[in-house]
Amino acid sequence: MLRLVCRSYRYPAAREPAVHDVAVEIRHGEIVGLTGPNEAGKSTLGLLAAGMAPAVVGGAFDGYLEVDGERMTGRPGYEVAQRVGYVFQNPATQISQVSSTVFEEVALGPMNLGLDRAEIVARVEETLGRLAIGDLALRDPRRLSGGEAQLVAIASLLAMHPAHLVLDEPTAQLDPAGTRLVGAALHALAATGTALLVIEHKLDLLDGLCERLLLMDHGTVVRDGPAETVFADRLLEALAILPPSRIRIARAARAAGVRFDEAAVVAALRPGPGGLDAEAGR
Amino acid sequence: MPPEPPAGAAEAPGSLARLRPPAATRYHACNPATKLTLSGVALVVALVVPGATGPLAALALLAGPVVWARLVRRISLLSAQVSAPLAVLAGLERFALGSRSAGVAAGSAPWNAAAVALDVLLRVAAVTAAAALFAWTTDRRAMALDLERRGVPHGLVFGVLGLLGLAPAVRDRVGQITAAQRARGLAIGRGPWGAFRARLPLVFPTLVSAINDWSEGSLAMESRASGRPGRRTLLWWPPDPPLERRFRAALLGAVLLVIAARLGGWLA
Repeated sequence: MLRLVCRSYRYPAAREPAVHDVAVEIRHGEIVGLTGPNEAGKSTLGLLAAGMAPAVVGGAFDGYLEVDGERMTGRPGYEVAQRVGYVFQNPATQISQVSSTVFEEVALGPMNLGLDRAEIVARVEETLGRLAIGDLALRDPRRLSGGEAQLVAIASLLAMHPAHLVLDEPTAQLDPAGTRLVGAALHALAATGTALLVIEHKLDLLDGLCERLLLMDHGTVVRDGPAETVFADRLLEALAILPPSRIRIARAARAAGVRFDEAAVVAALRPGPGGLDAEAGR
Repeated sequence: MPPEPPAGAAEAPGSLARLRPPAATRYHACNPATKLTLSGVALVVALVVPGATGPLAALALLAGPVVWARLVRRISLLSAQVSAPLAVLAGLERFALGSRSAGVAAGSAPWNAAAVALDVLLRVAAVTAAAALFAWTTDRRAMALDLERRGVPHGLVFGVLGLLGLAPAVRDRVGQITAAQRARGLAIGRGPWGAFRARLPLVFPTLVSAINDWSEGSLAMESRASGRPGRRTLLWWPPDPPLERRFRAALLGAVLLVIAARLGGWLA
């Protein structure tokens, strides 16, 4: 289990805390969505949950990060990285510049961990296969499309076999097919017991993917509950976040005077496992 | 000193063999240390040995590898382009100074100038050829892996590779920003001067965004345990056969003798 307690976190040279009064727990195999308006502190919370802040980013942190009962606060970034992975929003900046093939790019983390060569090869081939990007193995990672690069960035983290993964808008640059692929991969990953925190402000992408949703505003978590409950919460619209399409359609239909069982229709329209397919499917 | 990998380990098994960058010629396939030694020795000889002997010996040393690497035309052209203007400038400068000098006979000034120009031409051509031969036949990642195998800390190797990768990244970013500015109606003048003037205001935003990218890239590397101390596992590295090791030792021995001879005054 990943447990983050943040009474306050302030970036270096910042006066105000970016995140405060937050306590989050993510169990093994759980997929938790994290949403909120711009500047709500979502990415900062992700960095804290991944141990990158303050270990690598710096800043003043009052609180602690615990992974499977072990305190991670104060440990060097490379130690935390073996327990919690972090996929950044922009795939271009995640390409290492030190690998000449996608295979080596994905192998970089396991290589840094000093694993046995056979183990590295097995992990890389398994990860490339899982994300269906085996055909990219010998391509130059600096010459990929945005979607391909994002899949490679995710694969690079998955190859390290972290027990917990934080993904900051992982599908921002993916086409619908790539989005579905990542969704399926995340579900498969959660089924192996990996805990996932997916930061996303497009709720259609989280619909069907996560069971639990956190809503942030002004640096703190203002809602934490089952995804269906938070999706239906009117606070979302008050914060200028669009609920998933199926909920908006149902509301629009009711507002137009159409008589139907709204709850049943909304439930029937819920995407199945694999999630993240709203853009492609509807 | 870190342990040397087992003999033959460069021949990576199975799927790893395909990771090695394809070599255009057998010279390209040589170990980066061998190519660096050859070019380095040629450079030292060209600069240290006086008269025309130094650069001619350096060019003679480079001639075989240049032919072997099938770079005769390309390197000749580059060497000529770099050395000729410098030689002309040096000759003109000597001619101008020599004509005014009281101690130089009036008729000898053109000959002196020609001799200086020839000296500059040969030395710059040799230095250029040595640098180009190494740069055009060496894959930078292969060199990095070879350095790492020899015990250079991977943090340093990552840093150097990152810096080498920064220039093309900045060039790409400038291209993107220029295209965006052009789409918004910014007039990009014709010719190099026009392009330079149009891109001057982009220098600061480009640098800022490059630093931001670098900062996020560092975080991404940290999330892949790049800060972990100790040796990491390498998947492949360039082969370093005993013949090449002996060749390097011979070259280094020879160049040390040349330097000693120069310092001792035997090569005056």
